[in-house]
Amino acid sequence: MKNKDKPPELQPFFDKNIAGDVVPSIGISMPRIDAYAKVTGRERYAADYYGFDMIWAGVKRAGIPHARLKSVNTQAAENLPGVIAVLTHKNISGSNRQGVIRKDQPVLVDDKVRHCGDAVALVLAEDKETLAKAIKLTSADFEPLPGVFTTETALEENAPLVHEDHPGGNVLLKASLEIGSVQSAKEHCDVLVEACFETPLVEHAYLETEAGWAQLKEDGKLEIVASTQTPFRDRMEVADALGLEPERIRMIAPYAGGAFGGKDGVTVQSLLGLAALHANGRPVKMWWSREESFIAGTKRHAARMYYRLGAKADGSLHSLDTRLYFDTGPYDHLGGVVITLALEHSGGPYRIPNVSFKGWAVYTNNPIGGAFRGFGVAQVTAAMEQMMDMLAEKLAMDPLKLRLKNAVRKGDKNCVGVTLTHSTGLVECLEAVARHPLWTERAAWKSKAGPFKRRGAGIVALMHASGYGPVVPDVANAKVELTAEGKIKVYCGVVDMGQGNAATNLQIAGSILCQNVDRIELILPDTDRTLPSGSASASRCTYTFGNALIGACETLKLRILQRAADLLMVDDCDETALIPGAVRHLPTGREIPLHRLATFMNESERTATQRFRAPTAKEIPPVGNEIRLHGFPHTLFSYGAHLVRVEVNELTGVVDVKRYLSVSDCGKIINPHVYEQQIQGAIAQGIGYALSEEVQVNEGKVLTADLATFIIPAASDVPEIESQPVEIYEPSGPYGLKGVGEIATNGPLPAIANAVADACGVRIFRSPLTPSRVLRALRERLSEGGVH
Amino acid sequence: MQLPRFDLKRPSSFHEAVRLLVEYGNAAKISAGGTDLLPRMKYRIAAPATVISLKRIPVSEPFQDSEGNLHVHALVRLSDAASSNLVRTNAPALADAALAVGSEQIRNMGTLGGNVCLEPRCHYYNQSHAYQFMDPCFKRGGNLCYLVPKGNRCWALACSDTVPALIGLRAAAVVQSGDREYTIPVEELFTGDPVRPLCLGETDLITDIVVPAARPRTAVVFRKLSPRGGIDFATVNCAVMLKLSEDREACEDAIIAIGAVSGKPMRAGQAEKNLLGRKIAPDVIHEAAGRTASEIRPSMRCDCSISYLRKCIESLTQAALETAYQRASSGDGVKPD
Repeated sequence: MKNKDKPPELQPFFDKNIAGDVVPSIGISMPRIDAYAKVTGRERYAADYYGFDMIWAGVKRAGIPHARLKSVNTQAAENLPGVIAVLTHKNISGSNRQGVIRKDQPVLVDDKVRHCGDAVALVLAEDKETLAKAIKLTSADFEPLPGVFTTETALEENAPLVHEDHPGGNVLLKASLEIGSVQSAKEHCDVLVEACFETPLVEHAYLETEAGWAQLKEDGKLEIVASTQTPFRDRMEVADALGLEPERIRMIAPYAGGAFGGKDGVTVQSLLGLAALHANGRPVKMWWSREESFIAGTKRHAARMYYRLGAKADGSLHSLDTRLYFDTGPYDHLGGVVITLALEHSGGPYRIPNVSFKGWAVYTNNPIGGAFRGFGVAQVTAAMEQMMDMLAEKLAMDPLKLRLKNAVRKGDKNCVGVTLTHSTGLVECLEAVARHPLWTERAAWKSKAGPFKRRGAGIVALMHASGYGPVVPDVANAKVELTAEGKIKVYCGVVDMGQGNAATNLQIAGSILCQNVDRIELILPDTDRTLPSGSASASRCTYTFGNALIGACETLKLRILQRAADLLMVDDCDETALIPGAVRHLPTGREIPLHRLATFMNESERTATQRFRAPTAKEIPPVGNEIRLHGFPHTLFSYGAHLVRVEVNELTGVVDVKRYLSVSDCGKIINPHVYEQQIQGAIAQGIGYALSEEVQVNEGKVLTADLATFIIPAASDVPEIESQPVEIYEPSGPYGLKGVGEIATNGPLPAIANAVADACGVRIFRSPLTPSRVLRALRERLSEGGVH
Repeated sequence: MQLPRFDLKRPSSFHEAVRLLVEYGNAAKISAGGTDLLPRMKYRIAAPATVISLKRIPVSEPFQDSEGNLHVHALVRLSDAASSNLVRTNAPALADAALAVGSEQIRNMGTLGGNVCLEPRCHYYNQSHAYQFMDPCFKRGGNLCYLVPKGNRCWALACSDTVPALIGLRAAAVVQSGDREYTIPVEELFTGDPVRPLCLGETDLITDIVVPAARPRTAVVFRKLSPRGGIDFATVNCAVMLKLSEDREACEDAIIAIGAVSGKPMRAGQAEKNLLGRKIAPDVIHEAAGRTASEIRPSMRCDCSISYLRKCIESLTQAALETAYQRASSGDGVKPD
């Protein structure tokens, strides 16, 4: 899937030794340090932890969407030989509540079941077979309650309440923002477009389902290894839920086998902690099956979005009115933050003087809505970018020109009233698409569609914020060490869930300290060893941690050079330079090996740390404090423009994605190879979101709980993807970088929907664009008589 | 996911396999390639005490007898069937169908006989039921259908890709039953009841598939539609046979077989009959496809609507008939795609 015009950036490597001989540089494609161990199966993920005398832990799930819990019957399971314990909420001495903002999710249900995947009991057994039997034997008495399964019914006046104690009823969070006035839009706009879009509930479907391992150590310390994006936050959550002091808990986060937001928060951690407290010091393992992951794990919020967009006859946008309803399921998880980020992005990367945005995150008894790469922006981008095409059609204007006309530039205020003071490369991205043959030659390509085929091209403009916003500190703390053996240790505080930031950290440290890859060791996140650096999320990992790491490495470098200058008895450390394994005095050529130098330095001298806090927007747009707490507004954005070519089979409704072009402004690139992986992976994931992925739920029960029914794209469903970076230097970023983790996920759904509309003249407002939906839309159009 | 415990028997001949079936009866299941049975066992929807694996039975290469009939051993791997020159030349529709099954890994393990005997499937049945929170359905021995809650029968679908092709080819299955052997047309193998899908006796085993010699001016074409290119079971599949008269203009014989939409593969008898004797032209093909779509009654399913299926049946049949006509009229009626 590489662009054929470019020479390949990488030689075939996958040999650790070749990688080890390299002194890293910034801006070149380097083999990922984790690649070799991962492809050869040697990497130890959380799911790979076992151990002598290990116990299996598993969960009895409620299986009923809404009910009062009367009792849990554990006796039958406890009597089964091989069962060590069956625990319920009565065994929990802490708050028994977890959650990032609003702590509303029980570790084990005490009062009420709020969705089918709720955990009712925790079973510990000698082996997996006994565990499965014991879970079956555990039962509970419920008093079923009427449930709410759509945002509409949840908002009705007498709707059953998911949380009786929540002041907002079934509204977890209502976010709104008003700038200018949309009331008189009809009078002031020459054109108005209105539509309602629906996007589905979507599963992350990572390779490694939720997994972990825990043990209560002899010194009383609770050690938890988990597949997580948030080890430091997990520690606080587990401590609070189980009633332990945080310092008693050690969280270890190996490379995650995929996460995409689904491990942004507690999954197995509290359960494992509880299990380990009742395991007499034996190690405990929990590993959700694919089906369990589907029903109990978080999902991308299903959304219903009402849009009304008004413009002047020349195409300049005048007003936008949106109402967003996000189904957050039974728990906050990150639902409030998701609706807030959605609200912030609901007008896209455009200048719109008059806006009224309203968003509701609504409690229901469906599966839990939570973080998923894109984080609310994927949904609103799907709506806004289709609105732009609908507007262009009504104005008879080229959709790309319409976007260019309204695109934000540096110094503009974006549509939520924030002045864009950082690099803003949207126009450059759109211009690159405009120049590309896939766009300029689209008419000829479309005319060559075969019989019963229709071809179309679609474009979108994208923006995605990075970081946590103004209130929650977006902080990273980096630590580097010159070891007593003269090697470098980089203490990574941010999890690498597959996106490659650990390798990038190594590249940064190696380049500053001029050390070969094999002289550098990465210490992966561990609350006892690394420093708190926030979550692996929000397109922030390399931006925030990278900045901290540069500072720490520069400090250590100076200290090494100064000490070397002293030992070499030269005046100025300017005359010394780090070289692989040593410091050289440049005028004389004398060298002092790092392992020698290290013996003269004590431990505190050999370690350097640095804190970095990401910048925040200084403006205070007209929103409540509650919304600011949920992360509004941001100041730093990545930008992009996508183009897709599709071919629609008008007999079967199958949409075949033929070509894909992504142009992105994510700042300067540290490792083009890793950058490319982020773009390609995000687009493949976005194609699934556009065409086939939908978790079907009936009355709170998941009907598509496996990968045979939840259809993710396979290799043959992903087209050739061309990715072009627009490398604009971002002064606040490490080496000019901005976040690239999420932005490309937001593009494929609206781009494909626009391309299908271009091909067939029909717009499908409900995604995914499955063959039957496409075919139905085509037939309805044919029966209206409006062919082509 | 782990397999449940079971006894493994590995007979080295069909005779021995049949003897084991007699001995273990209902408690035993046959595994040819295992690509369908093992996942079902992992899901715990099949839990045989004994698995009789046929992997040790020697497999003979496809061969042609003196009358030109093609004999394909039931345990030939689907990938081998798809790539066999003899199959590709004499029964291209079978090669195409074998190539359409599952993924490369599945074709490398799965066998022709196994695919013919494929258990009817349902989105809700072919899942792990550990987290489904519902009572067993008809196919699991219960008394309800997840798909049609008020229904009184199972609606699982016969999804084999090779069966419609074999019906189009008028192939027959050679069955070992105790010490005797008999032959039955592939089309007659199926009951239509997804819970007990095969007409075979409980101790019967298919040993060979026999495809009659290719006839002049005849083409058999297989087509499949599925959600993804790579791996899925068919949404609809279809095989058509078209034999032209000597002037290569009129239809002398026709078969239209539609699979994956009901409990057994279906024939569009009316549409076939209507083709007989008629001069083949675009409107005739269009009419036949339309008749097929209105005649076949697709079962309820969860991933698409019946009206969508009818539309797909129509377009798939039309495409297959057009290709079949081209091939039959141009004389090279037996070349694979």
